[in-house]
Order: sequence, then C-alpha cells, then structure tokens
Amino acid sequence: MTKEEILKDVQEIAQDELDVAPKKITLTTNIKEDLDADSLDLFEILNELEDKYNLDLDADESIQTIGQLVDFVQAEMDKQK
Amino acid sequence: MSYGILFSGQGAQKAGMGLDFLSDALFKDTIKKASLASHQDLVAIFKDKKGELNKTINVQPALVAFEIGIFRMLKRDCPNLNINGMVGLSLGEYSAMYASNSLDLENTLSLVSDRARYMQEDADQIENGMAAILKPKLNDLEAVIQDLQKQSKRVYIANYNSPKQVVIAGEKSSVALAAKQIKDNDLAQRIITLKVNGAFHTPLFDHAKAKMTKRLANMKFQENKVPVISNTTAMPFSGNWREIMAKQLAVPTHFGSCIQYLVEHEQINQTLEIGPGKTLSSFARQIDRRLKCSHIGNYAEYQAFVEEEYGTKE
Repeated sequence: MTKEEILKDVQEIAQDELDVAPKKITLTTNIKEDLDADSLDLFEILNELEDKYNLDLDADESIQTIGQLVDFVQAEMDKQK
Repeated sequence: MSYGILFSGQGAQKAGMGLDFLSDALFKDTIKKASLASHQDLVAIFKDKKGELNKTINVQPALVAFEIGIFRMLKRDCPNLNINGMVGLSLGEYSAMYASNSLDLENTLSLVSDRARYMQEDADQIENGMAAILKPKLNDLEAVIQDLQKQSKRVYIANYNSPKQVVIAGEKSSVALAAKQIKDNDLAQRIITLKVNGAFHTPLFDHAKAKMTKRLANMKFQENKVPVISNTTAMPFSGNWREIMAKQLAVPTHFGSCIQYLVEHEQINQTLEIGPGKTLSSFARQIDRRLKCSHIGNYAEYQAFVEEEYGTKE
C-alpha cells in the first residue's frame, strides 16, 4: 500500500475515534498536541489498524506524528508480508 | 439538543489549565472561593511550576474547581441549555454534585480536599500499579482476576470505562502478573501499563473509604435537580450521596453503563465534556456512535461552544 492509502485509512479511523475532521489530519499533524489525544487514543487507532490490515502493531509511545504512524504501519506491512 | 454533561476525573489535568479563564470575573471568583475552601493556592497549582499537578492532593481540588468554574459560566451564558443528566468520572462526581445543586461550592471543595488527603495517605502505603486493557475478552479477564484474588493477589478491575476499555489496578507486582496472564492467554488486543501511582477504586483504598464515611456522616445534601448517574451503581443518585461517595473510593467505576443509562433513560443525544482532556468523549463515542460530543477544556473552546449554542437558537 502507498503512504497516501494508509493516510486515508488513518484519517477515517481518527475521525471515528477522535471526532476530528479528516482535513485536520496530515502527515505533519502531531497526534497529542494537534488532535488533543492521549496515549490511549493512539493505541485505539493502532488497534483499529491492526484489525483492518491484519497486522501486529507492537508500537511504543515514540510515535508522535501521523507521518511517523503511517511510516511505522507501512514498514510493518512490508515486514509481516 | 438534550445534553448529558460529563465531568473529567483525575488524569485529565494539564499544566496551565484554567489560566486563560481567569480574566472572567465569575471564574476568578469561583477559584478564589475554592482556594479558600480547600486551603490551597489553586492558581499556583494550575501553573504547575514545581510539578504541583503530579500530586493527588493538589490535582483533585484544582480539577473540581476548574470544572465548577466553567459550569457556573455556562449557567450564566447559556441559561437555557437543555441538560437532561450528568455524570462525572470518579473525582468528577464532585463537580456533578455541585452542578446538580446537591451541595454548595464551599462544602464541595472542602470534601474534595479531604478526599484527596485520604487517598494520598493510602496511595503512599504500598507500591500501586495500573494497566489499561484494550478490547478485552471481559468474561475471561474477570475469571483471571478472580483466580489471582483466590491466590491472595491484590489485583482488581478498577474501571469499566467502555466496551473497549477496562483498567485493572492493585499492588504493582500483582498487576504485572495479571497483565502477563492476560497477554499470554490472548485475552485483550493490547495492554498498556499506566504510569500512575494510585490503584483507585480497589480495596487498597479501604482506609480512605472509612475516613470518608466519617467525613460525610454529618454532611447534608439537597435533592439533586438534574439526574446524576453514579459510577458505583450506574443509577441516578437519590438521597444516597453520603453512602455512595464513601463507597465509591474502593469499588470499580462503571462509566460505560452510566453513559448507556443517560442515553436510554434520560434521552440525551449530545454530550458536553467539561475538563482539560477529551477522554470521556472518546468513551461516550465508543458506547454510542450516534452521540454528538462537545468539549470545553480551554477558553477558546468555551467561546466556540457558547457561540454555537446561540447560533442554533431561533
């Protein structure tokens, strides 16, 4: 999958989980500061991505931006293929 | 729109919270009165210059005063707001106690201040741990916890937050053991150890509960005007504040069921979370996707909310 496709899914999930408009979510968006989310929210998003892509996403709290999240998911996809 | 008002609990605090509201005379008055009643400099705690917000004893009066301050402004600026019910998470139940006219500001803050002290005393007794369990297989999880308790391990389910999240808490080593068993048996999608010292809502707080029972013995509550749903019973408070607010400290919270009650029995279709974070809104959405959720944590959000309220009026 391309970064754009993953971003689109992340936007959809974040809209559902955090109640924020998709246009507010770009690669440079800081998850905690810009989206007013806590670390548990990040894990909720990861859970949804795990279910959607059938992946194991064993992330820690070092992920800060949507871009880092998308990169991480893409790397795990390649690894777990 | 029929609102359910949600008041945040401990954990929602943020450094600098409330400072942008201080230019409002009513908010400032609330904080001044609350500071006197709790014998604390709440503005200094808001500023958090020396890490004041890391301590239970400071956080509790600060959060409740902050939430009450905003609620009083809302009553002034949106007197016709259609409030069908309220729920606070744990500490937030004290904000709801005030907001429902069950108790006045001074007594509410004085109670919160003593509650914080009792809880701090118990928290300092033993190394506590907490872990959030996301997407749990709840029945199996409860069985694991019960088994561990039979082996004299001090671990408990402390918060039933939503169908997607429960929190376990207790003695640190026992929580770690439970987390390992949950993981090994694949009983949840994710387990996150929380960096919080305080297994609130477990028997580790039995001493605080006993002290609170005494403290509440002579407190006189008014019959609340708006239904407030108790975390402990998942039913509206009705003349039982004294008993429930003591018990609350050592038994689990059922926030998810409280939202369910507000939707089914009080017909809310919108929530307004008052507090620095948006955690309760997330839970509310996990419980019922149809709920529209608003949040006031800073002055800009307050203004936007009031404007929208007036914008939607005839």
